[in-house]
Amino acid sequence: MKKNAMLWNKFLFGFYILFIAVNGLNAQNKSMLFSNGIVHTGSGTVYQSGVVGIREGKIALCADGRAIKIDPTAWDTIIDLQGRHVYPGFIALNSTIGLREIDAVRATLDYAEVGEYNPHVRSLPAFNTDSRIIPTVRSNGVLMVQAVPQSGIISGSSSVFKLEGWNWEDALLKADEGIHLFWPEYPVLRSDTGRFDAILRKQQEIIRFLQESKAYTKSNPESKNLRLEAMRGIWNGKQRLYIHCNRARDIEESVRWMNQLGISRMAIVGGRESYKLTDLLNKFNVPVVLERIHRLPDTEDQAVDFPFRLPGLLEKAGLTVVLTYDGDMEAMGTRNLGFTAGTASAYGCDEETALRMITLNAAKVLGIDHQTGSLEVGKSADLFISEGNALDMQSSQVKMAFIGGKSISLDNDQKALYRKYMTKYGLKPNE
Amino acid sequence: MQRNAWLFLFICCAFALNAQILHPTNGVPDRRNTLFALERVILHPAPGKTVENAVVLVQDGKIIAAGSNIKIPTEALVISLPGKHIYPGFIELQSQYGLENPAKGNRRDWNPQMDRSEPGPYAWNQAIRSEIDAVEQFKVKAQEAASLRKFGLVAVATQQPDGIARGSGALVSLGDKPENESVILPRAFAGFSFQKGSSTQDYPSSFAGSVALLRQTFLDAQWYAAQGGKTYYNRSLEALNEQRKLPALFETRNYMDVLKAAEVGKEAGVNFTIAGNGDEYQAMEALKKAGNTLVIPVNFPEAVELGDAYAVESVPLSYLLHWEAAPANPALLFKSGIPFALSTKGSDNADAFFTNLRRAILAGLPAAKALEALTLIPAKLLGVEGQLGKVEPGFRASFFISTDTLFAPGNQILEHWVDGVRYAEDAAYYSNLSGVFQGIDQQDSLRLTLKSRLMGGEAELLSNGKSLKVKSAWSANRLTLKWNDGKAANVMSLNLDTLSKPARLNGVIVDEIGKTRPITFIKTEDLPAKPEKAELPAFVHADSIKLRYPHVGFGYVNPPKAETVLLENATVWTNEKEGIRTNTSVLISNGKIAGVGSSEELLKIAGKSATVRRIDATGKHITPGIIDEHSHIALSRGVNEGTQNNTAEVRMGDAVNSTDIDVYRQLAGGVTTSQLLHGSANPIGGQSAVIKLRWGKTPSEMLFENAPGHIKFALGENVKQSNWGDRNTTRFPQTRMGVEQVYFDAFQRAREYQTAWENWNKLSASEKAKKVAPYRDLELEAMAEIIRGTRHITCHSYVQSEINMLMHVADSMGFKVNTFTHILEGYKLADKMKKHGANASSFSDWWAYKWEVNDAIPYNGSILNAMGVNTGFNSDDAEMARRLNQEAGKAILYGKTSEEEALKFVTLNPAKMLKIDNRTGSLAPGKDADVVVWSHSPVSVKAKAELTFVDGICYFDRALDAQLQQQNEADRTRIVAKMSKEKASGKALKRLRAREKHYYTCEDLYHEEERHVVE
Repeated sequence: MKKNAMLWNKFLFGFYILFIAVNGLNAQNKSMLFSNGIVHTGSGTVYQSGVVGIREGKIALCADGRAIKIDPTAWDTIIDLQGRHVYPGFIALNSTIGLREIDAVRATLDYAEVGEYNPHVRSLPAFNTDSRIIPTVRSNGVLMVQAVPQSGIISGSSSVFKLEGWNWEDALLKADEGIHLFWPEYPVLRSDTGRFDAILRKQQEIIRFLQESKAYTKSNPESKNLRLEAMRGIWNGKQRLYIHCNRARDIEESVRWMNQLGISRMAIVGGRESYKLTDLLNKFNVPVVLERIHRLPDTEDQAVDFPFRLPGLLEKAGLTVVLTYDGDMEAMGTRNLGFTAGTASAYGCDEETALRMITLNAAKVLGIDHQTGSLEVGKSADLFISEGNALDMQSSQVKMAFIGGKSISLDNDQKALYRKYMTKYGLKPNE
Repeated sequence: MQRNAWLFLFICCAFALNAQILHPTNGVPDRRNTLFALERVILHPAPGKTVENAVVLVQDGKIIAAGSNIKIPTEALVISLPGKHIYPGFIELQSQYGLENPAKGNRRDWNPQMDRSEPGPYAWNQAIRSEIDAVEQFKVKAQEAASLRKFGLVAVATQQPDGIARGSGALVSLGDKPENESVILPRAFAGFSFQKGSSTQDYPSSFAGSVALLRQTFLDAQWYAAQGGKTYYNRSLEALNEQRKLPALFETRNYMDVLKAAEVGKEAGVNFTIAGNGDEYQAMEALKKAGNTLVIPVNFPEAVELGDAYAVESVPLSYLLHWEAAPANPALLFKSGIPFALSTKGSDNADAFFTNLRRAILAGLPAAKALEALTLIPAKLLGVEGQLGKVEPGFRASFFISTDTLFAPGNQILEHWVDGVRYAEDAAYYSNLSGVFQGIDQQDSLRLTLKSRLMGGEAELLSNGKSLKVKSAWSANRLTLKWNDGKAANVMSLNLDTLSKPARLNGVIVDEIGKTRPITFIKTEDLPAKPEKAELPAFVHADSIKLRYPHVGFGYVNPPKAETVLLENATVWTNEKEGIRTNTSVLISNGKIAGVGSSEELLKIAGKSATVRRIDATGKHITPGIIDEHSHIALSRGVNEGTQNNTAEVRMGDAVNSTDIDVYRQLAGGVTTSQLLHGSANPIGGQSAVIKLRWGKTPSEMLFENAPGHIKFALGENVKQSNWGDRNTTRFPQTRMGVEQVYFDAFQRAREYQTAWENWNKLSASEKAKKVAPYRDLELEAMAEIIRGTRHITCHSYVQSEINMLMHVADSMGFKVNTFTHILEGYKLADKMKKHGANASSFSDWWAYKWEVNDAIPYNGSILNAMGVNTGFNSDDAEMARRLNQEAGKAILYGKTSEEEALKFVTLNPAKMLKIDNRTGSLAPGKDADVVVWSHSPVSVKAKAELTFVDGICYFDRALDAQLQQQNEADRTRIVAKMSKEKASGKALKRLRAREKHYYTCEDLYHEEERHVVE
């Protein structure tokens, strides 16, 4: 009897997919072992013949399969991946997923609140777990997002979500983990003195706001100021301050100001010219959350491939780099996040390092690296399995994904339409 | 302004000469006919000629005699000017003198304006202002004339710079005689441009639209002349026809505009004289070929403030390169034999103008040529070479007198003569007032020292060897000195006597009781002259300019050439029935693919061909060049002429900008051919330009030779203006229902148009002679081409209903819709598209950016392809275009299209859509050598284009790219150092406002201005 059960818990990957298609998957409480996979841990290591075990929603084993001996009886299910790839779920920072649906339809946009200083405005309650975009992004391996308000000077506070959940409470991974400061940038060339002065005034206004909010944290007034209340986390180190800016001068000045004010946890978001300030950023331990690298050079004379090379340059200078997909059409385009890492890997960055920029580094910046972001024992089993290299469209085919050890559906409306019309034409869907 | 009374008298007299012939005189007429003899001058009667110790006789506004050995008649008023130089006065071709500034376009509101704002029997478009005669609005403005004379000018061709056809301009003198006598030629020239100016009408909103309007207007005028105004009167067209006999002057913004103006002129049979902008040296070969005479400015770009350390690299190298080379523009044009006049336009003041002129000469422009370009050439262009441009008998007495040869540093112009009237430049005339004056006084020994060369400076007074504290003030040639000697206030009032030599000051001393005693001061010594202005640094010489092709960052100093190349031992994606071949070589020769196979057999084919460059491509992949079916790069000033629902007459080929850095960037992504499409703002947009990315060539050289015609159509939200805000609810159509009717109407009219011409063409010559040919309408002509199948539609489309609709319209009119672009719901009617024979050019995975793309799916390409529809992926985006190979890879990701098929999505299939697959799109012997060598499989994210060949010319080489970056840095460092020298010399540098480069998309409605502005 026991032997029989043994027979049934071993699958070749292809059969397993077929098996769950027929029987459904309720393996959440059962243990599961993937063997013979190319396991990318997200922390820079790759096991060419790796094993990953999931138990009680967590990663219970992640190792070089040739170096350890597996006890098959210890696992409810064992799946032979036959050389398929295992990755930690990708994490998209500075995203508006869940806050935006159709760019040209105002009624569907919830990422830009009115007002300049809105630290109290939170993405948390607006996050739409039923966005039609989410399943399309998930099916390329993006399993977590940081949903960020995007307007004014202090746009609000961001939260981190799993891309699976019945409602925002259910999907929540970390609430109000950061405040976003959109630093007013000087024009490139000093041409319009008036504009320079206006920006200088704005910067001084920001400093004053920060100073007052710092003073406020030391008080406990009966009449609450919601904006200042919302800043407490910045001063007690619970929240990260994300400074959105690109130009070297602005990066330099904003980082120095914040340091002087006593803010220890910051990040530069955008960071086009961060390569000019790597020593400063290292000194203050500031990670760089890079603007989408699939973009044109910043000036007409910059090297044609410079944005592609930038992640590698920063990494080599010792910075913590995160890749994002922010910019035009970012929500729906976030399914290409892995391919930006792929591009970085073609331009001077080691492939596992590029992967780390959308997994472990991202988790570190968000302060969730103790629970996810890489395939390490004890972390949440947030991972997916791809036929080929998930950073390369040539071979990426995400076949299974797990969040908290629970297998999630990779189907979406677009796949449904695909099947529907292939069927209409008498063709066989090729998924 | 102060003026010597002696001179003033002359002026008043001269005024009287002719004015009274027709005009009633109040009192006794004062007609004089004074004969002036200017003697002992160094005469420069015409460029390159000099006569020492010459005499010029002037009477009645004309030169009577000029030269040496001329006897001065006894009745002459002799003006002795020993050692002074006389030059013919300059003529400006681009002036607005005596005319008001163009009215600012004042729109009543921001609703669309489809028609003229004011009705009248004029052209339908407000930018066609041929009915305007500048002479009717001309008013003499004495002050303005005086400041223009400082440039050496004596006459200007004047017109308001307003509109595309600007009407006639006048040639006027820069004197202050009344209008009747200042007009030299009332209708001297006809003016044109590509700027709509004050017109508030929507059309044209783009550069290409402006070109189309002008082209159509010339045709309209032709038809108008033929029909003779019998049933339809149009003053603008009538005037345009009248102006055919005048010289035509065209104003432009850059050398590409110049080339376009030349081309439009040739089509219309007008030989434009084209006013350039100083960048013409960048296209000398093409300009020489065009053969037009140019008018070029000498207002060279200024050195700019480079800002803080971070900002230096933000000044575009293109600006720096141009700044360095611009002073050599005239010299370079001269050397290449391009005829040109020079213009003062854009120079802030005469000093700056002459300084820059000297710079041009230092850069290699012969001085005589400079003079000719300011005198004889403009005179000839306007047909007044018998009146102006020389100092010879019979010519107008319009010249100037200077202290030195014209272009010598420190030269000063002393006086100007315009039509026989003498104008002295006050400042210059008393060229050295400064010095010591000895007083002649019975009472005291007085010494006066004037410090300034000009009136207005300070004075010092010594009385009996003692310095007095004097306050000095000049007013109207009179110097007043006040001082207090301790007992009482004293005043001395002196008048400057300029007839005497040496100079004298005559006047009185007034004592405390108001009693006066006469006093005279005579100049006894000059103060030492201040050192001459330092010679200009010779920043640049024409011979030292290393032109880049194009003259911007990443331009090639040595443009790559076609060569015989053997790319060896690679994986070759042939896109032919041989499929993907490993360990294979490709031979490129004479710009074509000579063969695909083993190196041995290819070397045999290469045979005796001089040198074969063998490139080891082991481990690499070789593919045909990428073809972007939907691109908006390399376009000037606007991508949409969305101001009417049908703008089929607009040609994107008119707006190609060959210097756009995106051309180079996309070569680095393996792109070799792009279709530059009109935007999607209207149901029927403009005609496409298919270009090859020949970096460094001119716009017309970039056009794909003999590519079949294409045109943009658009459906859905954009054309019904769904996302344009609440004001844009007027233009038809506002619904998909209306869109259908726009098409029926346009094609119905095109059919009728075609029939009218077919009937006309059937007529015999004698029958034709009796009738008027049908009106030629470039819009309907383009539509008729679609019906005939010689022009092919690329239709922006999203939802299935409208796609279906357009195929029905086409079927009913008997033609095919060639390509649906975007076509994001194409998968819903792949069967119908297949049946119709339409191509599909899609995005790989875009959706969710507007409502109509809600059902877009990334499997679209795979489904259409599987259904046998010829399918491709395009960019519509300057960034994505350089990763189109990755986009092709997504056809594998979504729907598992095979790798070979996926690559065809961005190579062979778009070639078929553009109907250029006989030339490019696959690696078949005989096809153009548009070839890319990749580091990895081209459909992989890892792939980098290492070599990109277009027509067998290697326009991108990743190794060479590193060198170009170094070259950029070296040039930047060199030029920035030069600019810093200007700053060190104390010059206040202006600031450059670097405009962000604009990247066009389908939906851009209005065009941008120039990218970089110095303020």
